Amino acid sequence: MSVYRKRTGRKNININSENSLDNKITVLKNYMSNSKDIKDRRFKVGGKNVNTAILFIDNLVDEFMVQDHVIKPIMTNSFEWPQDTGPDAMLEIIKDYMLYGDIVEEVCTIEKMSLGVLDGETLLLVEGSDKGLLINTQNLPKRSIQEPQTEPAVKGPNEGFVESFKDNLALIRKRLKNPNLCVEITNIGKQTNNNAALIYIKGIANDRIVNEVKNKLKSVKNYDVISCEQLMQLVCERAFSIFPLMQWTERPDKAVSSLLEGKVGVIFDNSRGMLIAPVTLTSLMQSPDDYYEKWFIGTVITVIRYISLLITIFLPAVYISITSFHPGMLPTTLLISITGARLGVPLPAFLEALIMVVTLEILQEAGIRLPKVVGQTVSIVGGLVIGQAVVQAGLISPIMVIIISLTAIASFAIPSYSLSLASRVLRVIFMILAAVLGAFGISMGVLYLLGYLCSLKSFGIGFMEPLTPYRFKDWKDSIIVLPKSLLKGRPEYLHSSSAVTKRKGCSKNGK
Amino acid sequence: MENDKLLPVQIMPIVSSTMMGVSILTIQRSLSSIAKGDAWISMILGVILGVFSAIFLYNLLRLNPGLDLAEIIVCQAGNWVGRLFLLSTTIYILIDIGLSLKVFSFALKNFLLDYTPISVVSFLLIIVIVSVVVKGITVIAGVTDILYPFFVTSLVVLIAMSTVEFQKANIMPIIYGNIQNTFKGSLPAFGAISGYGASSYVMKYVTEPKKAFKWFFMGFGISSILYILLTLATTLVFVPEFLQKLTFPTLFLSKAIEFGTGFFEGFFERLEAFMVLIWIPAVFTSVGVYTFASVRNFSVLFNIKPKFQKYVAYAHIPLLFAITHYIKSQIVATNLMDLFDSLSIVLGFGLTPLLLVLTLINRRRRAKNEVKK
Repeated sequence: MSVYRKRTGRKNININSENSLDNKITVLKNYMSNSKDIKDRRFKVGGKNVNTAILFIDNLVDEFMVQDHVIKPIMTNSFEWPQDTGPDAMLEIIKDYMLYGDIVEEVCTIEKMSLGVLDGETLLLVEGSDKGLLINTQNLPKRSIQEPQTEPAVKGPNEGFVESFKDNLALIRKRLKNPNLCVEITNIGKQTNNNAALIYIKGIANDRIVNEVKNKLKSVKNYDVISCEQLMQLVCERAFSIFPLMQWTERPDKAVSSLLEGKVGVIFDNSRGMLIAPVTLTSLMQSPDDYYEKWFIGTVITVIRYISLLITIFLPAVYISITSFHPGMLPTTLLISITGARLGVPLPAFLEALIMVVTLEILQEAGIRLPKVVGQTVSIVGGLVIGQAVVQAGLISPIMVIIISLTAIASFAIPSYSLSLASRVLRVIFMILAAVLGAFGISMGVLYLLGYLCSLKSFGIGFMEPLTPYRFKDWKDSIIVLPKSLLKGRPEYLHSSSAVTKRKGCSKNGK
Repeated sequence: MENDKLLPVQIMPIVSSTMMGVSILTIQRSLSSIAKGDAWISMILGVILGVFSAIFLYNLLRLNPGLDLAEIIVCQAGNWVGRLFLLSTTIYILIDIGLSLKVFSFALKNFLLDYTPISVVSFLLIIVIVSVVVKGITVIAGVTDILYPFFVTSLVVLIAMSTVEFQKANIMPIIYGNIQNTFKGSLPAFGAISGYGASSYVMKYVTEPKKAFKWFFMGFGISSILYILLTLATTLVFVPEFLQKLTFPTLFLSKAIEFGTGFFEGFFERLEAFMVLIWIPAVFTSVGVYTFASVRNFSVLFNIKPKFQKYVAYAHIPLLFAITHYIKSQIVATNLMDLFDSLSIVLGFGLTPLLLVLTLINRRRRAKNEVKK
């Protein structure tokens, strides 16, 4: 899907008050391309012989609400109208005395009127007035709240963000009953007109980070993005970075704990996730599960996850370098068993690994695209049948199958899907380096990669914080997980406005 | 080049890793050829010399806040004389980097890459180092932070494992009729540890320089202890006559350790190859900081604006490659590196005190002028 950018803006057009109600409706309908789902209903105000009309889009509004809260109170009102009630005054009276809607907004321009209608609101027009009333009657189609699909947890809440902007905000508010929780809504996209909410806790989030995210959102106002994932790519500083520079989560508990740390969140219309900024490697390696278990279990799990990351990136490369360049680095017995297993395999270790890695990637991609029922069949055919067949055919050595399987399993242990994807790309790069220069190539690659990682910044915060520079105080809640009683203060690297405030009792990734 | 601020704690790994670099792999050879079994005492003496030199450097940097060594030289010694000093320092550092890279390339070829041409190894090392240096001191410091614990741990483990091979007789009798040679040996020992001088190019980027000096001395202490222990370990394992024939005693130390024939012991059969692999990052960080220093030298020498400094860094690729390519023999490269390391005594006890004196004179002169005004 592409992101379109409209470079020209529309001018605000006023609806001429001299125009008849019919004309106004025609102008508005024309403005909205005369779509057939735009409905209008004309009626007279009770007690007055004045023409009134409402305009709304079918399927975006709650029909009963339109009937009961808009049409009925206006038509059946028993208001004692003053003699010289002008159209504007009448509109004011209708707004103040008759409409039951929770949000009623006065609008003047055709653009605002149409935007409201397109957003599921009902527009009320009165003959002779150049103003209109937008009444909240929204009833957008949406999915019910379900468990997170990409971030499941064994323990803890199972609610996940859904595609409803309001529901997502409610999921945050529900967990964070804090008057300092600040939500700023920006409209993004000239064609799409979607809302993006910037969420942070005033007094905790660093103002510099808040302003930077705000400015970034302003700078992409004209881009027609349709999801927060696209928005993330636009607002991140390094467009060519293979690592995610904003964290995407569909877990409200994770989102709330990030806000409590002093991070900033962005919720976007029709997206089942929240973007969190800034992001660090350590935060991408954290999972809510770490905090739902005892601290030492959490620490062990975290360490295992880091080992998994290393296995995902380096294991095939190390195998290639050892078998092709440095067989002497292995114990003799292991070397004999590997050499024995590779006997008769016609391909060099690199090609062997490359074929397996590509096959694995195809299987993973197919598994995502296919329906769940068929997906299992693909896993069995791909993993078991093909895996066994290639070994029996003598194309691939059994050890290579073990290596690639271990690598695949390790990649699933990485909590962030974006990071997992990045590590899969890096795996191939390191395989090539190992095939060309052996362990030396891997070392060179590691050094370059570390340099690259250290140069990455997410909204002014280093991607490798708190690993480098050494912020030992922050290690207790990133590399390891210490008991809750020791987790006092917010992360140093975020330079939170209230860094000294104890975080007692508040949730840190759900704890 | 983006040179953001560094935290004081980051000075520790920078100082420590620049002190170690390639020299920690080779120094025991020249020490042993001079001081024989008392090489480790020479190392202690070298460290003592280093402490004095570090105090000079500390005071020089303290009195010139916000300036690096290149700027201090020009600022205190004047535009012409200063640039002359700076030019010689620049050439010295550049050749020293080239020699270190060449010696390490030989180590890689001997222990890891038998068939790869040495020029390819050197070239790749230079490319990767420059590509990181271009990103600025913050990135160099970041990489050093991450890698430093690994190579310090590897050295500690190596020293601990080598204890099984210790032969007390190798260092006995201690300083028996060998006092003069032991003192002579302190010169190359000082040369080996003199890498901490590179921190004079980094200190100006530290947020709180006063706090950084604590970490500076901590890094100095860690490396000094490791140097002394490693020299002692190599002397205890190898007889001096054999030690002075080894080009890379530290790597041979790992080769000398016997572990038996079991499966797990088998992993340590080629410990020297693992050691040389682990040592790549150590050399990288050391040479990286030196290359940054060289870039700063060139920039100050030719008044190059910060935004063009990355081109200065790129210009180091052909320069360093030319130096590494020029020297063909491993022995020549190692001897030259030892010689250049020893020349650091001129910087440590010549240039630094001279600049310190000049700083004090200039300050006094400035104070007098202010009083007159």
